[in-house]
Amino acid sequence: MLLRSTLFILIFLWLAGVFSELLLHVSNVFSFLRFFTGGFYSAVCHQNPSKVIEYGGFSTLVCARCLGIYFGALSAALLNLFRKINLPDVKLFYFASLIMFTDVVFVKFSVYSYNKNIAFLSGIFWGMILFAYISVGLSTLIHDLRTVQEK
Amino acid sequence: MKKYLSSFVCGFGAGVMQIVPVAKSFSCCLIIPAAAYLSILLDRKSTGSTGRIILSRGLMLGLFTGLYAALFGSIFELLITFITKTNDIVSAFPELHSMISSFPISEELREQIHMMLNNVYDDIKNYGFSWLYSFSVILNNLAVNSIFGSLGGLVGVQIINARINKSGRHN
Repeated sequence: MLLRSTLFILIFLWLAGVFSELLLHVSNVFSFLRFFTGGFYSAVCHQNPSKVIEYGGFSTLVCARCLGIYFGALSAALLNLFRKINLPDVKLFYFASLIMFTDVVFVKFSVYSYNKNIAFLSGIFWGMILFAYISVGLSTLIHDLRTVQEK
Repeated sequence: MKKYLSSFVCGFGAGVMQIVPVAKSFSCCLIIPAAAYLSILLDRKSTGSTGRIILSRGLMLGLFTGLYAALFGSIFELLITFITKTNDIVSAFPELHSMISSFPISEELREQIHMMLNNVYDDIKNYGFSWLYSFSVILNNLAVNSIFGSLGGLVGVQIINARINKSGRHN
């Protein structure tokens, strides 16, 4: 339960950082957060202005697809708090990856123009599956390390 | 070094992809985890291993991929800044100043931060290099890439192991 709660909190904080522009306007207390997060998220996302989600004059610090991935991971982490998630079939992972990859390729080859909603939704699905792999992987790793220590 | 040669190769590739604008926009935050996954595959090829992979081995390969990517990514970024004498900090300089002005801090501290930023701006504009900027880029990349690399390694091992399990059941 400790691992599951920790994962949820970490993902929640990571996602909160994405919205730090909004938090900055809520209170000046968060201004430091925005100062540091700008650089932090640039290491994991291109932050292309045409691909980030804008809301009331603010914008997220990652693109719609990345935001979808993190939202998906957070939703799965929340579910994981109430019911332990098992490792999904690898086919499901391939399927989610295929959806996202198809969207990326179609946009690149101008089959259709970039759509934030599609990018976000494809990210959510992938993020949920990915979280299951991370969560199960970490708990297995901890279990393995404990077993080695006991021996 | 030889033990993590696959991480070195994939980390280098990811470092390049993090910098090249077209490549960067293609795969976004998936670059480092994908590189970690590839490094596990490459490691299996090079060692000729066909059995299940231990999670800790995948984690280490992923971690090293992230670290190498951070190292190469930072070098390339600093090199580009040195050649072009401009970067994100320079282009967002006015915005940064106004942001600092809104910080709930003492006037003295604010002045010091403004001065520090001005020094970074001047150094980059004049010489294409700033110690503070270089330090922040390296630290930033090391922190983020090592986390994403480790996660990529962890996920990658499970995907490969699931494939091995399936093929084992079919045989």
